[in-house]
Amino acid sequence: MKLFTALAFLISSLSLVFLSFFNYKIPSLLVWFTLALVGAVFVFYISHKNLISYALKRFIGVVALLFVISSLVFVMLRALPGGPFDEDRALPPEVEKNIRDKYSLDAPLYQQYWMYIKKLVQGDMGASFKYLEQDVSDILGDTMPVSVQLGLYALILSYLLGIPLGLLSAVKHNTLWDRLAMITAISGIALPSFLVAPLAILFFGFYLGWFEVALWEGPAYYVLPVLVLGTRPASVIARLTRSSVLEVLSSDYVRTAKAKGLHPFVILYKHVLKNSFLPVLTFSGPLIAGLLTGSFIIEQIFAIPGMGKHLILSVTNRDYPLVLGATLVYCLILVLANLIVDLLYSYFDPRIRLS
Amino acid sequence: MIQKTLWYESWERLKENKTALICGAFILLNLFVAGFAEWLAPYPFDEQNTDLLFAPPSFEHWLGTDDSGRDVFSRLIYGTRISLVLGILSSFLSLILGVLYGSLSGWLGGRTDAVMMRILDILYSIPILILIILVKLIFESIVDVKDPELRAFIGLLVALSIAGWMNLGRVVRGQVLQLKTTLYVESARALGAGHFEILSKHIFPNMMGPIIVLLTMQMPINILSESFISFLGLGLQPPYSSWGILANEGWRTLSLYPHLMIAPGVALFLACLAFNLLGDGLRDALDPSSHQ
Amino acid sequence: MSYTSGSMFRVLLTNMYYAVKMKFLLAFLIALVGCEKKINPLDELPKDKTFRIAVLTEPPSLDWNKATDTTSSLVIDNIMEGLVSYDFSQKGKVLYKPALAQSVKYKNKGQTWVFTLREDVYWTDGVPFTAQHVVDGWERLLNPKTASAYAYFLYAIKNAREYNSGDIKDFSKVGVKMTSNQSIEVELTSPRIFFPFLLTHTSAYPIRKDIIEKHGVKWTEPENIVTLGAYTLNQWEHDKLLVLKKNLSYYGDFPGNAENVSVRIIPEVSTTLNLFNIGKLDFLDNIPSKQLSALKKRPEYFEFPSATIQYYGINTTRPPLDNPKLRKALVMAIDKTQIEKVFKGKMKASNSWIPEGIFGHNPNIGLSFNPEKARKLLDEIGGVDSLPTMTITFNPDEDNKRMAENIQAQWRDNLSLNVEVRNEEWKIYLSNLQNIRNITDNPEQGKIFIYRMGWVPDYPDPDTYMNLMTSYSDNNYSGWGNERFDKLIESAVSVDNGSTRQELYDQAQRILLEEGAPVIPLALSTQIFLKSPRVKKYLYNTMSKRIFKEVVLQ
Repeated sequence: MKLFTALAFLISSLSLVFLSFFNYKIPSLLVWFTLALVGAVFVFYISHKNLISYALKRFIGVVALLFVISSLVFVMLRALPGGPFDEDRALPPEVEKNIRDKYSLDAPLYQQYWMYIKKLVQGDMGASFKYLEQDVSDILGDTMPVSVQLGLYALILSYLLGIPLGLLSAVKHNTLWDRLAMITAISGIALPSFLVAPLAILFFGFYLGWFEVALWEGPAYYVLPVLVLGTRPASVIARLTRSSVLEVLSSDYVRTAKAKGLHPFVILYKHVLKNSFLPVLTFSGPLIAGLLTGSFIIEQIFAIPGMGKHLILSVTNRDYPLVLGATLVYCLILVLANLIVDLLYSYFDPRIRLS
Repeated sequence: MIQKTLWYESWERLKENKTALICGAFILLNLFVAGFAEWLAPYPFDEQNTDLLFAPPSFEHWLGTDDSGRDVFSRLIYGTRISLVLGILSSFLSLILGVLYGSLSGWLGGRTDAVMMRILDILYSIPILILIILVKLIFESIVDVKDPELRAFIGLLVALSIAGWMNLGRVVRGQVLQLKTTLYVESARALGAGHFEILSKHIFPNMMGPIIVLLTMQMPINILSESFISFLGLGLQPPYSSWGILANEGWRTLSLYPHLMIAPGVALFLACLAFNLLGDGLRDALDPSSHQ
Repeated sequence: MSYTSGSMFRVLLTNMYYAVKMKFLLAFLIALVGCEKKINPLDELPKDKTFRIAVLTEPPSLDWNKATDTTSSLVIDNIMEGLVSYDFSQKGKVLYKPALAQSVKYKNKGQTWVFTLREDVYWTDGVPFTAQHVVDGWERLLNPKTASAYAYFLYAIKNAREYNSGDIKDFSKVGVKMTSNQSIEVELTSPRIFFPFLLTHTSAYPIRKDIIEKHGVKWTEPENIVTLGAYTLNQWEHDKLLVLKKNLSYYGDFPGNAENVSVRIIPEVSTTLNLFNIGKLDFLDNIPSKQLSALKKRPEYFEFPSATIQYYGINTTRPPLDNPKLRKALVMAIDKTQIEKVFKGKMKASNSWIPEGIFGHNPNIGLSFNPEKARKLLDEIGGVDSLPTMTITFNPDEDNKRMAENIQAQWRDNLSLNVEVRNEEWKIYLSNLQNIRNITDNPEQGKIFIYRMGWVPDYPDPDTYMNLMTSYSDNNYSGWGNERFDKLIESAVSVDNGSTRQELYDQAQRILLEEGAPVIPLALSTQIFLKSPRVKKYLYNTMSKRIFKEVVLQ
């Protein structure tokens, strides 16, 4: 039963990825269906396991977190010198007053804060100060799908690359394979993406001419940015996998299993993989949030219209509502990712109870 | 006595690890370069030669010159200083913050611990780059230092430290929680030792291993963070140089003047590699039961 | 599966589960069949009729009453028009020519202006264009509730400032009168001979109030917007691209053949260059200056002068810079040919404040390079050693940095004067600049000695440059003010005799540059383009306007 739901979920989400990869418009029905399915599974799981109080606690925690974060960022933003409407042309005092009135910038800070929070509770993140005709939710709604798409591919790539690499070097511990795999992994960590990206563009884009050098319009365009974005997390995952697999391999029950004469493949599959996945899982929460909300550097270099740039440029533009909105979205995704990680945790390691 | 032999054993183990030793030596070499930049660099870092822009590597200019005719090799040497000082100093600052916070939280335990860990969770939930930029800009505008580059440097230092301490704090807390329940701490407590005494005599010395490893691992992260901030144009500004600044000046012209990006890129890469490998080696040496 | 009574619930659930699963599969199949391939908007456009360019940012606003930046006006200028437009047909100066207005006349030395509008103009939704739309646009621009940053563009109109500040609530008191459906009479506060130039700016374009009321802030989206220019806004995929299409009901002539224009939003200049190199863009106007010397050799490279002046302002409220002798010494110790050399053609040296290509320019005015005299002036005030360490402040940018370093080196070589250069994040820089005026009582606290700024002319008239340095100008951060200068500027705006006007501006420039020297004009930035060979014709102009209807593609 659990397996079936998991499978259904996997298939539907993979088909979403698949469809988006080949530039298909994802029918909203499918998206809603997947979301509804996930929600139903959550509700079922929670009610089934009597986790209602857990879910409630968790929910209250999330609300409190969002509130504290928005307050903190609000205060920090206002401590920054320079205002959203300062430009290289000074404005006459009358004009400046009109603008400050319109955006209530002259009101006492606590009042502005109160107004913001009041609107936020109603689900309104306000209008951007920089992009005058757009609400923060418009901007994030336009750009986030692209970032999610890019992040999702990079995420899949990093698991597909990282876990086998880590396994390989753990199983072949202290051999040339191990060394090679680990040097590759550490290299992936030691190189900043803004150096890898131009090199990749120059080599694969211009010299070999295999992939597109920029933009975001189809599979040929996805390869380079996903590759560059995925390298780093793949390296981290490879290292994590290696160390935890090594630990599990030297544990008592694996030694017992070995002594029983089980086939090494069976040991690896039945005992090692599941148990050594936990550290990777812990790392996955922040990783998912980081990847799905976009990478400024990758989006900048490859001209990908994602939300990464808003996370950064909104600060330098002093676009207060956009900074807050982007931060809250990041925070929300992080919380969701951590929730999923916790649920998976209890699945992988039944000793851990959700409470 | 026991402590000494433990350290000695670790040193013996480290000596067997050739990779870690080479990496350690490489880092020492870098430190040497950073310390004696004035003597090693053939030109001042900001000397411009307008007749020799974008010159490829030659005998006079080993790594060529940049867009203002400055010697890239000299800038790389001076850049080593800023990058390393920033990376190492900010890691130490993070460490101090992390150890203070983590040990306090772990030692006090109970409700205080829960609250302090919640605060960490909150800080974790702010996107790290937003945190760094905000802290840097705020700090730069409030700190009262005349020299603008020093001010930018301090802003960067504080921002990197604040971005890095949370992880350290969490690990230190875990260690303290673990050590708190060990026999020798309990017995020391039973013998009436004070909080400070137990912490400084029994807990800190036993935490040193993991802390040293974490510290080593934090340095390359901070060195890379500096280069990301340079990418955003918010770091130190030329003519001052760091690896991040140099790499950023170089990547846009990779196809035309590859020497501008390759040299700082390789320096950045090697240093981060060395720090990571040394960290691995230290972990193996200090904690033989781990398998990283 | 055995059906014991205890497991009834489970059976129920299982059945439900299978039912759900079947439904899911069904829905999934339907969805799969129903989904279609996303059509890339650019694939539809015929390549030989599409002009492909890139901009660095998403246009912050396509509401022409509110837009203030160059990216937005690039788009707006091609989908909308004003009462008059620029006339670049004559070399060396910019004139205006009627656009939506068929005739422009003035009375009282230029205090009253009469615009007679064309009758054959229709908006894209078929509504005929009338004077009411112009008045609506100006009312909205000046309305304090709109909070438009460029409302001050119309402050020349009688009572406009008062209406904008809220002192007057009744728009009929403002000096704008609709004399008929096709004519408007405007009364100004004082004569202004260049008034029509102000109407070439996007903020003064006519609007459709009904459309704005109907759609609210979203009226600038392609499905809502109503325009009357040479192009229509066909698509706007935020943060990604805009597509403009030829407006078939456009009233004016359309000399080119670029029926579609795709404007990609690409924030990184080196990426735009990559895309140009693989033939995905036809035209680049943002060139990384580091690549300039290499790009110069390419046949696609073109440059054209602009009227944008780069200058250093001096905080004259802060000792020792309150001494004009020191300021003049600083000016005379700069050899501007050095700047040209460093920037490799991206900057053209300028001694005069009114740049070449604008009426009033006089190459003989302004302090030229004279290191001996500069040193003598410096000795008169006590020599270099008596001076504190001063700084040049600028916002982080490759070119600003290079300029500052060059000036720093020149002062060191020519005056043995050591200054520091420093940059501040853009918004912090601006707030420090604005603070110069607020802290005149305690000059020691002023953070800025010498600041960098550029001036993009609002209109091609000397007034836009000279007004900048009047004592009451909001953009004059130098703290310098001169009554004679102010008077000259005020009187020059109403003189329509060319040589008299020139004489007035010459006098004023002498006061500004040779007496007071609160600013150091450095150079005019050159517009630099890469233009693909498939673009047969592209007309450049000093006002940096990009006019797509004139583009001829192969």
